[in-house]
Amino acid sequence: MIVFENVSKTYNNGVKALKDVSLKIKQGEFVAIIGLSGAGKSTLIKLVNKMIELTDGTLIVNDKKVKDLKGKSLRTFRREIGMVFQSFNLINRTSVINNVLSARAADMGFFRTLFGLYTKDDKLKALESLHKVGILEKAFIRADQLSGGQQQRVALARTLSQNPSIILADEPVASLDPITANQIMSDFKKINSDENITILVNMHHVDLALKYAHRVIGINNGEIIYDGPSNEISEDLLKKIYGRELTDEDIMFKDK
Amino acid sequence: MKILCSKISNLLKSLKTKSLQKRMLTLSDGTVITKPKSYTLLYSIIILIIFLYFWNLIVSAFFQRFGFQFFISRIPNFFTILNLMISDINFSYFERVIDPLLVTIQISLLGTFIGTLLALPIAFLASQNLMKNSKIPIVIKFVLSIIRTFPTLVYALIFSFIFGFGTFIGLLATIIFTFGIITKMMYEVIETIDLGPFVAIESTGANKFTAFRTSIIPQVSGRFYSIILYNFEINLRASAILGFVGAGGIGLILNDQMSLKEYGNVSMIVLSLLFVVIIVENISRYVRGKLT
Repeated sequence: MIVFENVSKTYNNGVKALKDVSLKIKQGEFVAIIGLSGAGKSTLIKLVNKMIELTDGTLIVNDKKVKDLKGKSLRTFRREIGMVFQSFNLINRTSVINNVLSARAADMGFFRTLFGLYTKDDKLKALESLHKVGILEKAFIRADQLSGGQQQRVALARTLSQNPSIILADEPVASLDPITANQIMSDFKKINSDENITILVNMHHVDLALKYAHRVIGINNGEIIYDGPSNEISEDLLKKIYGRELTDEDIMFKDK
Repeated sequence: MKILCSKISNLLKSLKTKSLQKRMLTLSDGTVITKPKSYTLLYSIIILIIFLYFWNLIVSAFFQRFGFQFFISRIPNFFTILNLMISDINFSYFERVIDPLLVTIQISLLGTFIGTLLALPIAFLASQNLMKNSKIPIVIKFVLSIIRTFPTLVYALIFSFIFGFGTFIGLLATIIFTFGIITKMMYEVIETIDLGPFVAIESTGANKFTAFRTSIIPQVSGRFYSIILYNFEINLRASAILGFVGAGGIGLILNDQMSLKEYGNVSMIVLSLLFVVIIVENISRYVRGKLT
């Protein structure tokens, strides 16, 4: 459960990225956050696992007050929350399986980490995660030899091997072609329905968001314009969220 | 001096107006667009002036004192010594070279290894991109630049005052010198790395050390190996000098034979060292090729 209560975020340079945001996300929801770039989508997501700190209000995630988490308690808290990035952020010069295993290093002791000694159980879990996203056969290939879509799947497997209750995805399909983007989104959907993991995904493309998410949060200039089921959002509201008519850039599959 | 200054400023002024005219480009329909200012010429002139000043200070001063004739007449002496070294090369002296050479390799190998082990954690702490908003990197970099100010020879001298002579002194000096250089080279590599993977691992709840070990090390290990091998090479070469203060290794006999003017033996020593350095260079190239 994620609860935002009157949360605001002002960056050091004075930019007000979020203004008085309140919302509640229950365990197992699939939520898409849409809006223009600079609207505050990324800020909202990064607040959840304290990659950035909130300025005002309260944020409670998995019954913990995020603001109070520090050091060890913050790291334990983050074990529960997976994160997926637009640029995949894989470790390039190493194998796919090592990339997936790296998400388990946080639980290991100093010497195991130093020498990279993962247990057999860790390795099996990593392979299972790869299997879930359908790229088991790439396990022993170097990560930088994969295509963008495959790399994002490895990132997804890495997150899964962490056994998270929440997955945060910051523009996970923005640098992918439409077909691959579609596949990645259905991977998210599958993970969401199979494992009851809450998914909070930022995206710019309206059609993909409406197709996959149960719930859509539309943000404009740091304020929530719409928060509700994806099938009830109107053309007018979309215009309000984007502050203009929708253009080709906002749609992944243009012929629709 | 005043005249020179005003001349230079006049020259710069005329260059300025000229460059402004040159920067205005007129298109066929009459539109005028101005290119941004370029300082290349100005910088070239400044560098040229500095160069000429230093040239005057060192090279001209030498010729004024001794004359050009003297310089030319002494050049053959260099070849005489070189000729002596080559023609008199004493291959049988190799027997006497082998033991000190092995000591040199041992010092360099062990010194590079221990220096690297010490350098790794400090390089991590000195990287500003990993230690966000921390003063630690600034302090470490300052201390490192002090450490690097002294050459290996000075460390060897200092240690010999404290602990006396011997191979162990050479090792200590090599460790400190290696540590100073490798740490700098390593944090410079780390500071250019893409931080995305590091952030990703941190977001899984890992501490900075774990994130560094799992995400940064695989990305930089290739370049680290080549840094380490390059330093091994530097240490081998430096060992020739270390012997001069009695810190063991090949430099010890090099110093002896030079003062005895036994150039045939000296050339055998140099040749042996060169041989080892070339081998290390080739290993280094091979490893670099494998890892990039």
